[in-house]
Amino acid sequence: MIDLAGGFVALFSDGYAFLFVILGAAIGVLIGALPGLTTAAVIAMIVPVTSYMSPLSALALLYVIGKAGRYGGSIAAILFNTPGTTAAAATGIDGHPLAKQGKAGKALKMATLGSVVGDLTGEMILIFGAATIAIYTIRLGPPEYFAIYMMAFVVIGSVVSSSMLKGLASSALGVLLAMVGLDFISGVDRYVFGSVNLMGGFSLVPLLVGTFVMSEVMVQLEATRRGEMATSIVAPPTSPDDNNLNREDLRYSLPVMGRSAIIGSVIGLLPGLGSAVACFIAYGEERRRAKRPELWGKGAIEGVAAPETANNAVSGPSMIPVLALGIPGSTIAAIMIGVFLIQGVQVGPTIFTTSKDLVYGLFAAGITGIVCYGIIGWFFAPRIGRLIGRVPQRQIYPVILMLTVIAVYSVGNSLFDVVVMFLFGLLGYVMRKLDFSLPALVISFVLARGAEEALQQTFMMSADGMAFFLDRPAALIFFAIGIATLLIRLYARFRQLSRGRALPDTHP
Amino acid sequence: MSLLPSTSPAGQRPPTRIADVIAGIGAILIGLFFLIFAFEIDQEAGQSGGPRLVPLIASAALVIIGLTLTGFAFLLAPAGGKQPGAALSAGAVLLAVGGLGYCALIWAFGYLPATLVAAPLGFMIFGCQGRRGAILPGLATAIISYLLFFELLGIYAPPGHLIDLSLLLT
Repeated sequence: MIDLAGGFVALFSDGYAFLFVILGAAIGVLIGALPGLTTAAVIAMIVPVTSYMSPLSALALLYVIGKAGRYGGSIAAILFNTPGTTAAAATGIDGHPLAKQGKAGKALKMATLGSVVGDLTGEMILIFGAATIAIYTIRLGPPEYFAIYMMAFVVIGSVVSSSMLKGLASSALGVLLAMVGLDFISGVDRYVFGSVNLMGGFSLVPLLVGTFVMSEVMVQLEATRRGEMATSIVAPPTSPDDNNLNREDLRYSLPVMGRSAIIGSVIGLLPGLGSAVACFIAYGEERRRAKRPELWGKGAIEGVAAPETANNAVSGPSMIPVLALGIPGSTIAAIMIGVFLIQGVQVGPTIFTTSKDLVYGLFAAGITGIVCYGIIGWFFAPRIGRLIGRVPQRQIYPVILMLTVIAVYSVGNSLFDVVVMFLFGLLGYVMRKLDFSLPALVISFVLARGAEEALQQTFMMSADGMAFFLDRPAALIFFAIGIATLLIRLYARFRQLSRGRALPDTHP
Repeated sequence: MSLLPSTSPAGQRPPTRIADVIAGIGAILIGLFFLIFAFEIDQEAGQSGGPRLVPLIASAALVIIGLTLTGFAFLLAPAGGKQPGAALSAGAVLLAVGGLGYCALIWAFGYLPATLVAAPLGFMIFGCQGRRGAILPGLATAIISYLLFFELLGIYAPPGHLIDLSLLLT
């Protein structure tokens, strides 16, 4: 607790960091509410700007945008039935019918309350869990780290995508893209083809902005050309109660929030699953246990509370692997690792001793950000919804396009980075069309160099080569988890195939 | 976004998957490219690990995954048919190609002249038309972004390498 108090002191004594928390909350809610543009894409776009900020300001801004963005998605889901983020995909099932009944205000307030409760639960788990886990992970050596990296590649690759093979292929491609440039140990160049620009390898920013923002702009271009625009069909409230939460709403929803917060937090700890999975699992579980099952799908207020609590509860615990191991479990976490590195901070268990003030300052920023977006959402969500409804999307994306060019160029004053961004944009777009996984690509790209370093260090530690791992039980456990995940996914796929059932995608 | 239908009647074979075949072949080709050039990476003889190891493993894995993906696509689905979502949008490809052209314009003539041309075109690609829909917002975006980032924030504006038109405009 003393460390956390120190974090608040660090946050508030740095006036800019506190302002960036407020700004992050506002940007996150707005962007989350904008149908189409994902929070990860916006964070990727802002990363170049953060290189001009202090570490705490930069990390606090992006961390809070991630949290507020997850919440902001509920506004579009409720008002437009078009989730602003995948994390809010389940919210519209009951949220939009409530809006059509004139209870948009009630649904939005429940989404706000659920998000705040879930996020605070997750944040507490992060604060008390990450430092505790780091005490154990600090003892791990290169063989264990290599095993953890391998586990992360396999688990994220096989879980994050609807197709296991395509997810794994995306992971492999991410690793290969990270191999371009000079090898950090031997100094040997790889896949450089004589280009001076490729000697340093691909930078994270053009890859991130290209795959997430550019490909998103291309997808939105398709949508606008097809005339797919979000429109709001919301009935006006018939009584003051329609805009507020009453005692009955809370009586039904508070237990739902408690359970959903736990579901979201547990899912947040697992790499690759993320908010979208959490919101559907929580929604499904609460619908199964529902005391008023007849209302679910037609406007149950608990149907808003469950997914919104769960998807925000993911946020804090998803940072535990980042801080305790240096391994991201989600796209936003991967971007955060990139920002830590840009700011010269090495992530991993030692961060709690080397950059204690920064870490606890980030935790304090998280809590402050939750309060900020809670206030913004509670009082302004309907207005934000109306504003989003008026924004001409056709004119947003060209502006975003121009800003991304400047953002990417400004990192290294390099036009080559802009060319790389457009190429990765096309790659990202094609990957989306063919159902490959962009998060798996980016996470693997971030992890690959660390994995290679751990492997090389393992070889240096022993002349036995790969046999050295047999003497390291912890490493074997991590390998086993990866293999078990793969086998479970394969088994589930073949079982579905053999039953000839409906599948989100039928290939293993 | 899955390219395949989310549901299919029980007992029926899954639909054709041209997209999966394309994805599989794409993975094989990319994997082969990296695999072939992995052998060009300098490596000391008898060295365990080394700079070639991870590229070899990852590229070989990509080839194997691509082969499996293609194999499953042929095995699990009848031939023919078309995946509706698989077609690339001409507009999106135009945007990427236009983006590369925009980079070439910046290289040749500098940031501001290139953006004054490219920004209105960007608005037009998104379906905005006319002076008020595309040209004026495009020019305003170009000028405001230039003033904000390059003049106010002091980012070094890329000069033109053929003819630096920025000097005439600023």
